[in-house]
Amino acid sequence: MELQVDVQVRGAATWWEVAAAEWRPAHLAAWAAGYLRCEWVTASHSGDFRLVSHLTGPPGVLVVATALDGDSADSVAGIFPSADFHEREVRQMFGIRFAGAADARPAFDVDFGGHPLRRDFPLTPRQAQPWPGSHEPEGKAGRRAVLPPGVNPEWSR
Amino acid sequence: MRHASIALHSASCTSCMLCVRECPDWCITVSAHTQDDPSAPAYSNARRPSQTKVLDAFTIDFGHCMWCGICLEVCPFDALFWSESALPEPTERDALVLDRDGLESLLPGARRSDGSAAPQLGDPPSGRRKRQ
Repeated sequence: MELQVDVQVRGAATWWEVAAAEWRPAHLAAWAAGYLRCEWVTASHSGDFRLVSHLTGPPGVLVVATALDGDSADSVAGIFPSADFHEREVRQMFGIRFAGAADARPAFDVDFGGHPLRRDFPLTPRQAQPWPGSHEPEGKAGRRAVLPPGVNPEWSR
Repeated sequence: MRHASIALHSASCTSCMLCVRECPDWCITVSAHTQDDPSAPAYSNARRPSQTKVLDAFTIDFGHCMWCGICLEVCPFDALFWSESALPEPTERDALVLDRDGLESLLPGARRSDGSAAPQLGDPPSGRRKRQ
C-alpha cells in the first residue's frame, strides 16, 4: 500500500506532510527507513489542529506533520515508546485524543481547567488583573477604549 | 552590548503611556499629574497657561519582563534604554519591581543603539521632547 507523502527538505531536516489517516503508517515507514528515535511530538492550534513529530536516526532528522480533521489521531507510542509522554502532554494541553494509547494519565499533575494551548483558552490572569494601560497617567479612565495586547475580546463575553 | 536591564531617563519621559500599553506582559506602570508649565514661553494672547505632565511614578516589574524591548522601541521620546548595569540582587519577589529611582540608577550602564552613552541623571532630554 503506497503512502501518500509530500516530501520537502528544509535545512537539515526532511519533512513528510501526510494526511491524518496516514499518521501511523507514516511512522511505521519512518521506522523502517531508519528513523529509530522519536524526539518530540507536539501540536499546534489555529482553527484546525496540526500534529508534528520529530524523528531522528542514522539517515538524519525527519519531521512528520499532518493536519487533523477533528481532535483525535492514532497513537504512535507502539512504534516509538518515547512518544508516549509527548502524546500525554498533547492530550492535556490540546485535548487531542490518541487512539490506542496505553497510558491515559495527564502529563502534568496540574488542573488547568481546560486545554491551555488551544487558541480559545482564555488567559484568566489577564481577565482578572487590571491593565495598567487602561487609564490615563492621572489615574482616571481614558476616553479611548484600547484592548491590551494579547487579550481576545471574546474572552469577556 | 549586554541587555542586563532597562534604564529610564525620566527627564525625557512625557508620561505618554505608550510603553505601558504596548508591553505584552503588562510590566510597566506610570502615573503622572498635569501642572502649569513654568518653562513655557509666556504668550500675551494665551487664554490659559501652557501645561505639562510631571512624572510621579514609573515602575517596571522585572519579574515579568521578557526583555523583548518593545517598550524601548515604541517610546517616542527615547526615555528607555538597554543597560549593562545589573539589576539589584533581590531578596524577595517585590524587590524585582523597580521604581523610578531604581530605574534611574541603571543609567550609568545604559547605551543607545549606536553604542554611545545614554543621557544620565541631570542631563537634558535628548530625544524628541522639547521642554523639560
